[in-house]
Amino acid sequence: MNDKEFRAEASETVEALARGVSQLDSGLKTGKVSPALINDVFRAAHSLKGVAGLFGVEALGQLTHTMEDLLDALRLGKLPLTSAVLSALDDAVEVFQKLVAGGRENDPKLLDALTRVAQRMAAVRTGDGAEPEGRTLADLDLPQEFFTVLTEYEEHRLSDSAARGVPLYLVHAPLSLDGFDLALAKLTDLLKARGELITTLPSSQSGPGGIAFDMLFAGEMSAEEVKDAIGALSDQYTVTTIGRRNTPAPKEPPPLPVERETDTGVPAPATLAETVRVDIEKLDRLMNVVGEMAVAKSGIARVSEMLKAAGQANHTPVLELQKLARVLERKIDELQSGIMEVRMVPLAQTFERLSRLARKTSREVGKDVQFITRGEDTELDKLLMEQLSDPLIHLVRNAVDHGIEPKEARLKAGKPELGTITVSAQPRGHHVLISVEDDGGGLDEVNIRRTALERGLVTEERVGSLSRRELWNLIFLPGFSTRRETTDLSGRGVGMDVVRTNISRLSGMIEIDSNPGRGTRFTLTVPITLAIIQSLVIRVRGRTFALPLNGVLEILAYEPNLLRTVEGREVFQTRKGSVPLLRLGDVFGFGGEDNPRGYVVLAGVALNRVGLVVDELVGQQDIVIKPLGRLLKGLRGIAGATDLGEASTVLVLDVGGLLEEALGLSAAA
Amino acid sequence: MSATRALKVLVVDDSGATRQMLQAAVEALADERGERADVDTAASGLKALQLLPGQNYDLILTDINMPDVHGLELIRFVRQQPQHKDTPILVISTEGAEKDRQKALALGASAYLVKPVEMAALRKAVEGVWPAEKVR
Repeated sequence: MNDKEFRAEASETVEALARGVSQLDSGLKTGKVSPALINDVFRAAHSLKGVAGLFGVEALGQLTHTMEDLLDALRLGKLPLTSAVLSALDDAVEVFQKLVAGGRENDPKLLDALTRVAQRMAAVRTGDGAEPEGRTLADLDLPQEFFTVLTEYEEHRLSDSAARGVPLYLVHAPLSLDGFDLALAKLTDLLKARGELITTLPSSQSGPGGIAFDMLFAGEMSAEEVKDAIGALSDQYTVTTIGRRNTPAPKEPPPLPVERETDTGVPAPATLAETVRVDIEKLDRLMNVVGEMAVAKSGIARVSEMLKAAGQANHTPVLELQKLARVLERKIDELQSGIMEVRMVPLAQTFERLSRLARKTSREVGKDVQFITRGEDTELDKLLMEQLSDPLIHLVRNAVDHGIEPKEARLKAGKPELGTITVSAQPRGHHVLISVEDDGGGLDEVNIRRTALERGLVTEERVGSLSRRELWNLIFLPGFSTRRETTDLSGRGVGMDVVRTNISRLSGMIEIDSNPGRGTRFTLTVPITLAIIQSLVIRVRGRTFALPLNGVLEILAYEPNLLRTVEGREVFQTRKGSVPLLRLGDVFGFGGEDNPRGYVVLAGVALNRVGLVVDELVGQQDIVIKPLGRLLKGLRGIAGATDLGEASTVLVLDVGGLLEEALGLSAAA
Repeated sequence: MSATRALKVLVVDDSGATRQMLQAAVEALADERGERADVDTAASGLKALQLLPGQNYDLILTDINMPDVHGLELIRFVRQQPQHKDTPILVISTEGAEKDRQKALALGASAYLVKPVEMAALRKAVEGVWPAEKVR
């Protein structure tokens, strides 16, 4: 097992921990914290401690230890769950996330953070010391041997349930050694759905091939109901009410043999999901192979077309070839979507991270904010997800910091003191819409106008003619950001211009909607995957390019009489107004003239538009973008290269980069 | 030295990283002694229950904190089986739970090591329960 796999497991454990802490937070707010949840969080911390050693950092070992200790106290009821405790847990999760994300273990900043969090945690921990509630265990009518195997935690859960007067039952399940796991899983699920399963004690049975389980169960239901429920699974299961020795329980004849019931016909659940962890690079390689297969397939289709053209259409081998080419095409499609599916991950993890960030930021700025997420099971390509996380972090942080007004202002405006930030996702065909919405004061248009003027991003006369939407979009210009804050999370200053650039790099769009006094919404539209994209193959002055289709809005005939020159720039008149025109041949310095009978491809990202002058439209094709070598990497307007088959490799245009070129955004002000 | 049977070992832990770490450690320890370890791993107490009846282990390493069937229950189960009445059991778990530690030892565990476990500690524990002559 290599370091990478260790990290992968550590990373999964940290995410489980993060989810758990997040659930504890909502549990605390609604006053409902299930003991099982605290125990889950404890176990995640415990697992993390087991692998902490591999990072070779003493401070990390200490932190995991302190955290486990804290959670142990929580689950044993020695320490109440408070927001201070949660805040310390949140901080710990954040440090862990940085570490497993490839943070350098010997980074002094990280070590410092580790130590600080551990100290905070220890401080929170010292508040406790109270012994748990009086032991009522001795009163319970349980076989003595039970007490020899219960963990301290289970004893606590048992006495807690007893003290609260929750009925306690002992469910006995004799099973066959062969395949008992399925039956047991069914029984376990059934009991967990109805109450708390405190423990499952296995016993070796004397008979050959036998094993029995004694399950200690606390649930607000009668023995009769327990009996009915488990009886539906097997007539072998029995239930005993655990009485109190001093205060005898109402007489119930224990043990109750469960009466036979007809087979319910419910099929056994499939075995628990087994998962495999795969390096995403391996999937990328597979994807490349599939892309190459698709190219080879078009070659076969071409050959069969050639044969057809040569008058061989009715020959059996030609027909056969065509049929096979179609089968191949279907299978390659299936393979492609299969691999894409594997690359997909739900947004839940990212949303969970955002929720923690919102909590943390709101604590820092002293605002009360609730964070609502919707559509967290929407799936996205893993690679895309990683690249989306920074922009989303920025938007959420902004929403808390600038979007939601201070408490006094909210009350004055007749709004609830508690601000709301909603992050939601929904699939839209090959795209996903993700929005970050706050119920704050909306964008401050006066302030935007003033800032843009002050920074010379727009002229006095122009600013007057801007529509509201255009005005809002000024915040995406480089140099607009009013504060160049250095965030803890990213460690570098980012403004909205970086957010926009990151999104357009993913062939995505970002849009703003703002309502004065009611709030602001940012909507990101991103493709669900970057691996395979549809492209428009075009020719410009004798050279071929692929243009990602998701950036293409419309194709118009090039008509010289629709050309205008505005402020020294060529614009093209369309039905919806004029757009800046970009002659690709000139941009790349090819020389020559554009075809007067060519086309203008209207391309756009977010709300920006550009017309690209194109000589010839070749067709539409699925492509796999491959990165250019290091030397060509920084080339503006080029996203990468792709293989179109017929041994022709062409460059893939980057609509976002071209737009910036056309609008002069990159060199703004 | 020839053809001694491999030492059968069972490692139980719900963390894959820990399982593999322990497996590698046990194999290395056996190697140091000029022996061979045949290690089974189980990702949960339940999985261990499935393995145990059909095997005859020379050493069992287990965690305590596992969902459903935990380490204490597992130790009791091991001891109920005639072929495992004297098999050494090393518990590798958290240091917090003193009561759990006492119970593990009372139920028949041979030693209790604290996570994250170091090779030296593991070697010492294994030497403690695996005297060379006993295995031969």
